[in-house]
Amino acid sequence: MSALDILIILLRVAFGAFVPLSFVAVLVWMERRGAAFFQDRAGPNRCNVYGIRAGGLIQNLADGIKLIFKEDIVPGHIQHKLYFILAPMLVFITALLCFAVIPFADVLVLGDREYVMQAVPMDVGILWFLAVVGFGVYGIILAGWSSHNKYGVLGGLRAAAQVISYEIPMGLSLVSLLAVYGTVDLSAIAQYQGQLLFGFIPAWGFVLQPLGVIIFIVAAFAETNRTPFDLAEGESEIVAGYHVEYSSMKFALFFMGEYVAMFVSSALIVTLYFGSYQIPWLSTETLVAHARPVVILLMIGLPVIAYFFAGWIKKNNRTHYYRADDPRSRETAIYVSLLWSLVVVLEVILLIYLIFAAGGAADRILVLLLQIGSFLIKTFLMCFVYVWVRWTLPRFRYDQLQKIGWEKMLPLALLNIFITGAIIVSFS
Amino acid sequence: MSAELVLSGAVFIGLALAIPTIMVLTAVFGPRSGGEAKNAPYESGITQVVGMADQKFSVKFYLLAILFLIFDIEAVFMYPWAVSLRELGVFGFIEMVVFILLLLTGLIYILKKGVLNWR
Repeated sequence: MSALDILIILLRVAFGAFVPLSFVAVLVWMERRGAAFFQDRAGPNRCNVYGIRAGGLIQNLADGIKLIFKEDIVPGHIQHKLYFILAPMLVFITALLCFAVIPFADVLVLGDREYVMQAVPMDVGILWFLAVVGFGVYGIILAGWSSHNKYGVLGGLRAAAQVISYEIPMGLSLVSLLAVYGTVDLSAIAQYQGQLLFGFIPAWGFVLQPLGVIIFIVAAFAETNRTPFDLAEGESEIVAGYHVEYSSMKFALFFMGEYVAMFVSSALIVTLYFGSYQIPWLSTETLVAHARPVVILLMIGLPVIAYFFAGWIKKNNRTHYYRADDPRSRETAIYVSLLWSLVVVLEVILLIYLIFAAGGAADRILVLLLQIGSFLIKTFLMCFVYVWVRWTLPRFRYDQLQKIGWEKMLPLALLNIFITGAIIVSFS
Repeated sequence: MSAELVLSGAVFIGLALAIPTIMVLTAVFGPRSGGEAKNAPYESGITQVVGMADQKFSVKFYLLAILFLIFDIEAVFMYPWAVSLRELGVFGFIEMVVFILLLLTGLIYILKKGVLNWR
């Protein structure tokens, strides 16, 4: 292996491990501000560092620090302390490991080498995902059981029963999808979605599998224990379910695990059904072939977007405070100048690219960055759907949950396989 | 297995295992104080513990686990079939329809028996 190989491997792994982690902060922020938005209130907006509030993101920092300085309690009635400590780690690790196989950009061709843009370049992507997701149940049931608390045990049992029930519709809706794509390699699936159907519709999964996408998304909500399927931690019935006895960083790991799982399943939904990193109508080849016009368009588009974004920031930040020297009064100016300096830096980089580096490897790296951006934007929007659903739909009753899973979704998934199979067989 | 796969896998799994050790931070920085109430199972503010954690729970959970095994193995059989459906053609499709119908009959029997009736 050359030095370039090792560099790219490390960059890929760093992306795969730290992007979900940094998205945890963004998602917690989105959850709170989203909740506030849906309930017509302001949400966290007071915490600041020298007047910088970052729209409430600083609140997450404060909460993180608070959790670190909490007392680390292992209640005395717990007999299996090892399992008690192991459970939150297991939940977090399984959530993070799922991201290993998600492709975030098209295969990067540098010289005669090809680099698959997955954290771990496995060609059995979906199987790895299903296997690791199955492990997540162990963390939850271990937490519930080792807590030795009746709410914990009930929460763990409910969560385990729910996750295994919804794994079946999830797996079966994947079967029909795999029949369409003809592969289990997520990278190949993502490349497949760069094609066009009938010459003008992007061949994304949700166009090819309209029923499958609904079943998969509903099952993914249940797998991540999100509302309307959050019976495992239903606070009105069993307080907090399996993490009732957890506090401080052990609780934080459950919390982070939940948001990492949400991010990863959004990423998987995007990968399978919403075109992965593909930018609609612009395949990788088109982008590489027309790198110059794309860059010129970006150079024109960036200041326009920045102008409207700056206007939005100015509109939404108060400038007058009761105290004349309130540090928050300078906030807007700081944001706007940061935004414009970012735009200037990007424009200079693009200009340097246009003058010196156009053609060859630089084109491919540019396309790679564009595709990563497209992937992250899509995943972010999918995460917003999670927040949206959470604050819109009420929680199901437990018998309703199982009824939907076994009596509605399972037959629907089988029907979907039948229809898909019949169409594929009759057309091939 | 290529060296690339081994290296990325090892680094990624190593990172995933290392990140949860931030749990140690709170043991270092957090305060320490015991107390009788902290050592009792959480009971929503009721000081006397009502009910045990190791009580019996519904047999439905066991039935559900067995059903999960059956249908998950069904799904596992379907993955290779799905990937190679184009080569298998009409014969493979009919084979799978028969297989699904058998399991569907089982599902209908289960539902009629009221196994998944949670009332």
